[in-house]
Amino acid sequence: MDDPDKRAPGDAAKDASFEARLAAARAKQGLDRPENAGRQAGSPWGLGLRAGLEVASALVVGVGLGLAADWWAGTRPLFLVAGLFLGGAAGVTNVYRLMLGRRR
Amino acid sequence: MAVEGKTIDALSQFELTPIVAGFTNSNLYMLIAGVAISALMVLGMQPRARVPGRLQGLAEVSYQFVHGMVDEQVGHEGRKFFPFVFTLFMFVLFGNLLGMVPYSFTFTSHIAVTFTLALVVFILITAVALAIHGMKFFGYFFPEGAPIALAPIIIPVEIISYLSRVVSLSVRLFANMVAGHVMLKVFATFVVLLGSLGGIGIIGAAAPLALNVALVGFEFLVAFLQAYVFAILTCIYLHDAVHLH
Repeated sequence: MDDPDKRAPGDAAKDASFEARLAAARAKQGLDRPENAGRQAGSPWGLGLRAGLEVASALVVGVGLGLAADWWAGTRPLFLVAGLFLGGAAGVTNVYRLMLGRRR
Repeated sequence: MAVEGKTIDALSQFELTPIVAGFTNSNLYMLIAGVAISALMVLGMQPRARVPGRLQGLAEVSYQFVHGMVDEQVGHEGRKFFPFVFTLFMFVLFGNLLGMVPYSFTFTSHIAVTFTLALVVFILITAVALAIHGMKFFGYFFPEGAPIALAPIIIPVEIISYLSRVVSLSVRLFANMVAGHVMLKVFATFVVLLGSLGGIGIIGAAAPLALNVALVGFEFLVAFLQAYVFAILTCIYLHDAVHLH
């Protein structure tokens, strides 16, 4: 007995599972790129090191600029301290932007 | 060289040795990288076959990879920067890969080299932003809508954040290459030191040897990944310079 109403849902389910399996197979072969491919290399270690590097490099630039300003103006600890705090703030800004993702 | 005095000497591999006055082994390997890249592109594309052979395939794949990256990251106007990004990517990649050849020198493991590369990128993105946006470029350092009272804090922070790109770009490549090569050398020295004990030491040497095999594979991954990261960050900075947000 060929009852179309009875067969249709089964076929639909089969189709759905086929689509899912196809998508899984394509993803496995790397045919469909995931949305965020190439954004950030996903491992938590990599992300942590990147964030740390952003903070450290901003601090280096801040302290370096502070020392240079002090050397120029002869006010040894003043700009060094200011540069330290501004560099830290810039580092946090960098990490914030890193987490936000640069593109909209 | 590895086990002189039975100590671990991990850093001698990064020493510059002058070949001729003013021309070091680092320069030699830069020259080799330049020649190898030119050879790959010129000789590889020589047959101009519709169905590419292996060398032509390699040349085409590397070209298309960077082309796709620039097109995707910088956008359509970014195409004029493709030659720059491609040269940069191939130079860093070949520097990293040449470093994986035994007895060779890794020129990307010197902060002087990576910092110069990052400085070139930095000057380019600043020049591009100034050329396209003129004085509006300086609005980048003070987002519109922020209260003017905060300007003394926001502007220095933004300038430091902008300048820190040079440092993070160069240190990332340099630190990755140094760390990888030091690890390789340390574990290779373990193998030699343990092996020289004889007997049980030779059995014990199997563990660092196995680890080193894995590390070599990992280092090849890092060589590609860091060249990719350097190029893609250049693209992202170029995107910022072109679109300025």
